Amino acid sequence: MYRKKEFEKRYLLIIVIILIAILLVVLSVALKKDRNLSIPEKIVKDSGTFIVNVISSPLNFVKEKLRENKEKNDIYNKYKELKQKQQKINSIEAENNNLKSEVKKLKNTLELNTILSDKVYKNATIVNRNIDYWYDEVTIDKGKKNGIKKDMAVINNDGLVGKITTVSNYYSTVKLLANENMSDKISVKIKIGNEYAYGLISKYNAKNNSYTVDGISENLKISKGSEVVTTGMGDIFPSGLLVGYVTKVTTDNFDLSKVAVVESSVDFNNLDYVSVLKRKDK
Amino acid sequence: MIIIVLIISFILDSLISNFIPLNSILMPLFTLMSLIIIYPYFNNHKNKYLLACFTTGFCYDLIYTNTIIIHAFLFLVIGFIIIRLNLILSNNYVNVAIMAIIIIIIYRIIAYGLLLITANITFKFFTLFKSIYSSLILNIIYVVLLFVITDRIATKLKIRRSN
Repeated sequence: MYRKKEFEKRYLLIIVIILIAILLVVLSVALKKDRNLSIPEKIVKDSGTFIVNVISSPLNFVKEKLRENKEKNDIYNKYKELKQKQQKINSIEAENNNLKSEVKKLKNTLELNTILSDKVYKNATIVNRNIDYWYDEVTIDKGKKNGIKKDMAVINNDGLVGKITTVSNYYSTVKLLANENMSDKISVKIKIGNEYAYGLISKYNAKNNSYTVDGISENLKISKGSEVVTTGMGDIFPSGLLVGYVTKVTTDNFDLSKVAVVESSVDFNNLDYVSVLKRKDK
Repeated sequence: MIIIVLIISFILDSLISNFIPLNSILMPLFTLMSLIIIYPYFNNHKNKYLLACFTTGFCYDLIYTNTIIIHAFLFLVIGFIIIRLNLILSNNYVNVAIMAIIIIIIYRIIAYGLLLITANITFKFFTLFKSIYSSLILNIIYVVLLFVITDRIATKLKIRRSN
């Protein structure tokens, strides 16, 4: 009797261990970063997000009206700002056209089909925010049917926002750069006069909405307020996307390279509309 | 009653998160809180309750987080804990608030542990602490309000529930 009980206990322990192992394997598959959604998942996600969207539309309407009202109050200041900018626009436009034709000529001369900064825009609205604390993701109203693919870069008027992680037929999920668990390092360049210093974004600090850029050459002098843009290396983000501005420069623990604190140009708390960028196909 | 509470909480979770800034101290976990409120309305049908927890978690996974069974599993574990807590604590708004605190802490710790073990994610320990305190205020208010509202409706409509 005692032996039988002992055997049953051991048996139970083995089953529990096997179950835990299976569970961990399933969970690690479920949390895999490059996992694509299956067809039933896509259908449920599309229909679920649509229903939530329809129900939340009256509240979103109120939110939109409140924002419009706030913008109306600020309209005179914006008008003054725009008037100042307008004076410069003609010269910038001429310069831009000139540069465009130069790039075109150079591309023809070098027989290049695409360059790192070639991109196509696709506008989208944020319909949902991932409510789980750990992920920092948002859902946009464009999906596979609109030509959205995984790993496309997402920007707004202020700069780089994130990248597409999962795509269903009518909606996509965007992983924000405002993510304290940043696993992919992003290659960026800091403008110093007419030259650039190269580095990698390694960390995001939620407290002051800033990134840490490390691996910058020790010999370069970086001033506060310098513009930080993507380099286009790494196949995800096209070059020239604004990331932010340098607020502080230090050296690493071994005094071998410089580390810059870059304040993000994007206000991640006020994201409503974004554009998905696609590198121009050959 | 059960389905209405679940659906409202599920949708409110998404709605409120659209209005609350990232890294705010008011992170909604309304669906999780609704699991505390609905338990008495199952009148000790524990299996049905656990099935409801699992299904809710599964929907949460598919619609909100794109993970297949993480929340289904988490909500199931939370369901077990709520059943245990209901054996110790009677059903009133103070106890509901206490249960909410316990559930939020356990939920965050398990989610943090699972992510560390299975997803190769390196969150600092402080992030766990932050995730717990940032979820407490709003969810305690919600759970108490939901308890008061459902209690009144149940009394008015004479819906049977275990204490």
